[in-house]
Amino acid sequence: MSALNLNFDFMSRRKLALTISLVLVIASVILLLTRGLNLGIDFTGGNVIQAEFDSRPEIDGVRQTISGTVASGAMIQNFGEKGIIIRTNEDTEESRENVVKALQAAYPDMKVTGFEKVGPVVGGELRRQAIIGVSIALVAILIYITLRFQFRFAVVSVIPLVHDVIIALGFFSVTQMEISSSFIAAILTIVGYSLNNTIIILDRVRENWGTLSRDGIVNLVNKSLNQTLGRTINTTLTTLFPVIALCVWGGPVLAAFSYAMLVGIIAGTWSSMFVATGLLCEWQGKK
Amino acid sequence: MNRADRFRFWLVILVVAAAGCFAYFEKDNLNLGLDLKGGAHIVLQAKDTPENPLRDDSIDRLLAVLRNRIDQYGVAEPIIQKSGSDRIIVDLPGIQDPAAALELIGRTAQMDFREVIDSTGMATPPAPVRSNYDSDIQFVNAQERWRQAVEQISNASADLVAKVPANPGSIVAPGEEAGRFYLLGPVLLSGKDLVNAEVQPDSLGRMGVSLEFNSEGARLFENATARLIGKQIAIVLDNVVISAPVVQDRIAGGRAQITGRFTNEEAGRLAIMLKAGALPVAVEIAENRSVGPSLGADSIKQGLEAGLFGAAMVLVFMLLYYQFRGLAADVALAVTVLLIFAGLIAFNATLTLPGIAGIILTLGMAVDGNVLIYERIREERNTGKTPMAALDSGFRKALVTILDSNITTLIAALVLFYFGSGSVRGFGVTLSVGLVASVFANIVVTRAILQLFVKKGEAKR
Repeated sequence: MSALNLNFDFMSRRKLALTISLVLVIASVILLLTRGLNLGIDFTGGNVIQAEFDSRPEIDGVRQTISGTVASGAMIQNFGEKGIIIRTNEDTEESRENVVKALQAAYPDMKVTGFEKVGPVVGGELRRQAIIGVSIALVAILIYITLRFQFRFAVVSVIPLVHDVIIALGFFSVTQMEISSSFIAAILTIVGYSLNNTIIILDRVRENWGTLSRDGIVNLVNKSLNQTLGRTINTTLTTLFPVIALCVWGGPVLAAFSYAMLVGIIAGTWSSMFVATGLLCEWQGKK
Repeated sequence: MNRADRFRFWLVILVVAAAGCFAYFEKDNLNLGLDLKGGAHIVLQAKDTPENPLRDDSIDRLLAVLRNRIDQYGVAEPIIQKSGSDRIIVDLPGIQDPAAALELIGRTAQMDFREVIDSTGMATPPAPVRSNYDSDIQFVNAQERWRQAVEQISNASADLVAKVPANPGSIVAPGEEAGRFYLLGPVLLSGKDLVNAEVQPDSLGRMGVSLEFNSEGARLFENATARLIGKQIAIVLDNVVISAPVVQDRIAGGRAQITGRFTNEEAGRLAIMLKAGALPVAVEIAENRSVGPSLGADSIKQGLEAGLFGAAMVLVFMLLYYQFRGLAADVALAVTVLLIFAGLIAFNATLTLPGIAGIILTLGMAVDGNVLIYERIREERNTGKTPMAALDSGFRKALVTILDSNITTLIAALVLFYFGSGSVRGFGVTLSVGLVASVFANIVVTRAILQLFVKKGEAKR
């Protein structure tokens, strides 16, 4: 088996691939604007209480019990085998104590296993920090790639990153999974992974650049994609193994992180192979 | 082996041995996040109120107060640190009652000056250590003497408590040294009457702390010092005696000086604590998270099991697909993991659950370097090169790719480390360490292993 003999004509479908990506990105943006994200208390401020019971009560019963103590709708979920999680938007210590008291009165077998309270200031700061951090990182990456490759390569490797992040956010808007501070870590890992993928393909394009005038950009990109295909498949697999293991067995605390990674890796592999390269073909072809 | 190969080989041995020893001996210094070991994470925000406006040293005063209280509360390895200009992060691992901890931390500082009526004479001596004694008998005797001393001290503190009813308004408070207790009279003046406290050497150049009272405080202090010449006045912060100077003379005018055998740091610390009592900083709780130890243990177990399974799949895949070279990649991966842990300890990073997930993911991505190299070597072989030549040019060509792709990601990781805080910053550390470790494993460790065996293979042929 040899990677050299592969010769798929990826780039003949580039218009279709770019259209699919564009549709997914637009759909994600519309979802984000209309349906929004289920932001956790790390971003919004509020209280989360985790409790365990010897025999877990029905969620409706719990809702009834605490309805007198919290003003606006609390979110109540089952957690693990014996636990529940209650999330409220009220970010005071008193509001949490009131909820715990009401629960303790109704369910003497309840044990609080953990709680979190985040004030509104901290939440806003985390959001700001994430946005500033990612923006500076993107600019720094643009500069590095421009120096090592060329400006055109820099632009076509940063656009897929934005693509991947928007699609991962869109997925979280559809599923309404909760976004916590570890989600930021997941997004950043996706950015790193996707970038890595794109750079490796573009690196091969750079290596083959000498044959540009003979082959034309489309053939050159196709050749580079086929030459790196073995690597792309193997690395995607070795990265997906642990991520799938985390999704299936990683437990509820890691669930959001793991699914974000899963979606991001799929989107990242796709965008490196089709979006970055497709854009390069279009741009180079224009000239 | 030529010189470069030999150098590479010994470099690998050296780095692995050093990282192995370091990780083994320092393994207790790996910080586990509170989400893993349970405990409370509290962020306090200093509030700017008309009575207690924020000043430059507000946070230092607040830190001093918190350290003082938390030390008394007896939490193992608390972390109390500044965050930005007006916040303090308090991590209390393993505490069972977060509500009580919050009560303790959220209180506003309270300072009084009181007369020392009586005190236990000595602090608890350190327990004897076997290695300091020549024979077991001597050691047992020393232990017995120590036990008696401790008992005597606890009897003495019980005696102090017994005297409380006879002295109206009195309390028993511990000193900062373990085992020392004071019986204190009624409040002479409170921290509110103290205006300032500063480190100031006396006329002989010895370090001291000067106190400045307001007019009310000056009057009360003058009365107290007039009555208590030759006795001690205790300065009590949050029910702990932080200093108990002997009154040398009646002090009028509202300025006093505490002298003693202070080092510069001790005097500075005392001045900060005095100011903390004089100018209490109002706080509000910006963030408060608490994880019970059982939840922490459950989530570690699940995350680790899933991670180990995923990592095992990576190892098996590499072995099946690349066979002997896969084994080299697996060894390189083991080296990566070792280096990551050594790096996390060295950089004092905190391992959290998302951090573990990140490391697991790094494993998947770390073999990318090996995949790149092996695919390159395969391409080179297809052009008809000998195994050794293919290995050489494969490594050389893959090296550029590996460096470019990892440096780009490293730039992102370093930006996060530099601009982020808390979990974002921690993630930046983990990612950076992972990248550097995996590049080393890819281009140095893998090559050393392969070169060793390809040489042997060629020699046989």
